[in-house]
Amino acid sequence: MTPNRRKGAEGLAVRPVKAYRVPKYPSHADPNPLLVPERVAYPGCREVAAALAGLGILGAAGAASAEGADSTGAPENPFSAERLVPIHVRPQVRQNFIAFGVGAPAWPRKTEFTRDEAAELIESVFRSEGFAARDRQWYRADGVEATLDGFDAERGIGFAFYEGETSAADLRNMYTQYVSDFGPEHGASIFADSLGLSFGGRKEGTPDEQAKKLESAIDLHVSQRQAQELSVAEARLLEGELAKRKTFVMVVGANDPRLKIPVEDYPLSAVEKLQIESIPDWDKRRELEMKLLQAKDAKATKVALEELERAVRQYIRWARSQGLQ
Amino acid sequence: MAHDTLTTTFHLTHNCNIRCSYCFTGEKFGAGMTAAIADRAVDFALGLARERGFPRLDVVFFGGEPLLRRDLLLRIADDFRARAGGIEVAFKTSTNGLLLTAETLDALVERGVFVSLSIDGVPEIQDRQRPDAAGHGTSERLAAVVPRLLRAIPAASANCVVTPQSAGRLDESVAWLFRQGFFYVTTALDHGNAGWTRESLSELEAAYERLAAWYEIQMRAGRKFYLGCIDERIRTRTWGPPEPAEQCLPGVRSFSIAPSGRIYPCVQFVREDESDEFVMGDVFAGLRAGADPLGTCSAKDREECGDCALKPRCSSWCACVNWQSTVRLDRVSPLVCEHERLLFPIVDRAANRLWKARNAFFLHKQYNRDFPLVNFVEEVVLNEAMHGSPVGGIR
Repeated sequence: MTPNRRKGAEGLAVRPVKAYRVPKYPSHADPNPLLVPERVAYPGCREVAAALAGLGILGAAGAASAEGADSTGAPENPFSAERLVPIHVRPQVRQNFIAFGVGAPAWPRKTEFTRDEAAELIESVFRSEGFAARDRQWYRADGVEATLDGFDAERGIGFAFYEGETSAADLRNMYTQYVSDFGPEHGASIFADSLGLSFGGRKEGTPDEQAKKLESAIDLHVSQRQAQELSVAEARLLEGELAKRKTFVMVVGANDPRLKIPVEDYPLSAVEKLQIESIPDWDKRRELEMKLLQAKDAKATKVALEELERAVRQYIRWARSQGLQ
Repeated sequence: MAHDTLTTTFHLTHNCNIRCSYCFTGEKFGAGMTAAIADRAVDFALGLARERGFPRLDVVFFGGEPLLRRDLLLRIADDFRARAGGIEVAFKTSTNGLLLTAETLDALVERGVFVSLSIDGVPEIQDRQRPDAAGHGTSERLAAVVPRLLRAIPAASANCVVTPQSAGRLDESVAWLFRQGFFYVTTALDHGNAGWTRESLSELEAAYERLAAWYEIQMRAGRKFYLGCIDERIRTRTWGPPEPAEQCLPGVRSFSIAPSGRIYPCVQFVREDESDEFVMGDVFAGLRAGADPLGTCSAKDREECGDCALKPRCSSWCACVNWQSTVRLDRVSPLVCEHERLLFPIVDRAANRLWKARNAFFLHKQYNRDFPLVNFVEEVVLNEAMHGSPVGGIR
């Protein structure tokens, strides 16, 4: 038996795609953009949304208003630990290189705030709201041991960062991935560098000896992991336990989109590119390019800081609605 | 396709009242399935669902044109309802629509039979690709059917087949279908057509570019609809690639029953029901021991795909489509490959723009698993309750 037309179309071929630009919209592995950084209201008419919410079929993401209020009108916690997405490998600082003209990287654009920068802003908001957000404090209670980045013990409010948690299994997977991507020697070397460790060079010793070195390096790294760093499970436990005592710790995940600086929304315009490329002198061309990009980065940074500040203030409003003194 | 659902397609007849230029179901002849065979087919489907532990059973009425056997179709639906026991049975029929009278629609609605209308878009293309047996166009007759269908079943879907001849007008056809009132539209390539060339694919690419722009405009205007060729590809990223367990698994989780009662793994292989090549058994004796299902074939990693960056998202896993195109189950269709390579970048660019705009409709459509249900309830049930009529389509 054969199909209607027996031959495939002429001239067409199966051709694997060697490289494909990763789409910018979030994948199933990213935090759900309906929930992070803020809930996105269902775009139906109000009556329908209300009726659907009443029927209980709108789902967690559905019924929230754009202002981040729940159905009672009370503010929602914009940093709920439920929104934290586990990070199993410490994220690397990403930089977005803009290329144009001859294609040379021109200006490494900063795309996210560091922990210190974010902490500085959060502290300033806390202070402006009347709280004393002191430097890092050790917290040990409720089955959690962690360093809080800022905590006003008297008033019962603080904040901490979640940057990731790495188990031995995660590290073994990571090692396998590096070796698969870069080959046994180079991959092992990059892996060792990324851990800040050396396990003796992969060339030396039998495969068994090499495997032992790897295992001992992983054990060492896991044992040296700073115990005071919060895990997602601890953050959730902390949030639940503390709430019973009207104490609040805002946990900010390293992948939180509010730590991102949206530089891609501020690209060079076509006119600006022409303006740059019309300059014959290379140094002056670079100078103008950097100046323009710095101005754009400043705008992007301002927008991102305002967004983060709004979220922190909303957290404080939420905490007050929950009984914060 | 839900992994806990068994799908059984009843080919009620080989006959048809129209002659589509691309039809893959073979010659049109015969009176079709008898009542006795239908009874045994119902037994087979329910028995298999129970034996294999499927709590849900999808029953699809197919042909030829299934509504040529309307009375048998209704009888089978009634039999399933009466004998389903604890199994949840859902019905669907794929029809050319010409026999959808008010009375037939009432009978289908009463039994909860979902209707998927095969319609190729603007009248000129419909008439060219889907003439009746006498060679006359069918668009005028369908013009009276579509409003009746959408009044009776507002969520009815339209399926539009794209041929090399109609490729360049796909955007026009899709927009036309939405204007008629459909808000669920799927498109399918004429995979068996040897007439696909680089030129016709270039025309299709240009049409997809225009269609993506149209899609973006509708999304930004807050209009709710489903367009398979774009939405499904976005979902391969936002929901993740379909797992093997989510695929149709022909011969494992889906079967086609020919009018004679012989069982095939997929609708693609029934044709005139003359060859034994893919027959897995019949409704009287059941599945043959050792019958070779195609499910594992569909799930196989294709050698010629190599380390293609699109492999996890691409639809080349379907062995049946590959067979239709290449006469080989284990060989990727070059047409599918070319099509996926041209369509994914267009779709992703449109999705990137909607993401950048943080379009709320885009976010809910793509990241809220409840969205299809919410959208359905909103469009069909609540709008009818609140405003007196369902709001369908894009005008």
